[in-house]
Amino acid sequence: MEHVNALPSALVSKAAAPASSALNRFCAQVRVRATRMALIELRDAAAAADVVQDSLLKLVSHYHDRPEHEWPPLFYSILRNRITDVHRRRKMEKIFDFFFSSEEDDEAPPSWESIADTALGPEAELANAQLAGRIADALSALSPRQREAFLLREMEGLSIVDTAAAMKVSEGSVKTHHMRALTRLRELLEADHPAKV
Amino acid sequence: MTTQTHFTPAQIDRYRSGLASAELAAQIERHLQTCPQCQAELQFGRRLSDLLAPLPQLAAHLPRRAARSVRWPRVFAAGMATVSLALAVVISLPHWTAGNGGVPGNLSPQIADAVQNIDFYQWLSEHPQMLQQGMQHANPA
Repeated sequence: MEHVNALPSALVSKAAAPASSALNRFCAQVRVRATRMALIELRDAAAAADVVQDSLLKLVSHYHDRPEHEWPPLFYSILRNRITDVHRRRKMEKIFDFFFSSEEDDEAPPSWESIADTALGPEAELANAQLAGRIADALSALSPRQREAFLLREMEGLSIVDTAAAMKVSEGSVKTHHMRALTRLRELLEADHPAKV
Repeated sequence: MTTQTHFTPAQIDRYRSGLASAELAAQIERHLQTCPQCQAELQFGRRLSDLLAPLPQLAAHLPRRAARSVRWPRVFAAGMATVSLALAVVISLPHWTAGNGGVPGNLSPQIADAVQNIDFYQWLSEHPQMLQQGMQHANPA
């Protein structure tokens, strides 16, 4: 049975690449975490789903013949480029904001925690959502490099070598960014609510 | 360091990120085998990642990016400003390229002289004897 998070077979055949069962399994496993990562970066569910889907398709169509251990750094490298593209596009749109109006013009994006506060649900779920919101806000306060290093190392469990390949930086740089991210997150989260994290 | 003394979060983070010296790393690894508290400290980042699981549900409550609509008055104002600027450039262009007395600045001195004194040269062409006379009385220096 095809996994719900695997790539749709129609899209895979369109990409003209034989998606092996191992690659399908990898796509299914990585999609949830990658979407989480894209959400933190983009704050837009549709855009996050799009970049993850695009990245998976590119991995399947261009790199399906690469050894399995190369897939994670390749995929995250592609995802990182896609996220950068979206940021660039938004920056370009901002340049032309003088000629366009939207409701968000004068409003700062809401924090994840404030979104969690408005979410309805059972008390336990609400508490979990608030905690996730606080963590996402703390992650948003990190520098992009620190955030990437943290997410790739901790959420994805990539090795230092693979993280360096995905981020296109040196291994020393990965270690430093990861260390600084951990320190900053402790400061941000433990100072706020030390008992909860 | 004995196995009873805990490592600080900073030391654990240094080890976790791969920046600890070989000596410190060996000490921490020995200590971690018997200390659940420091093991939990080591999993700080991992725990945070796991706690992010409800994020996609939260994302469903994110405000949608509003559709952008064109601000026509601003577009019109910018268009008018551009047209005015273009007109100003077109009108002032001959003044920029022209030198003294309306003579274009990129001509050689002889041609510029001819253009400036065109009436005199026309008169001279109608009176060639004056040219000959002038050449006879010309200053040899």
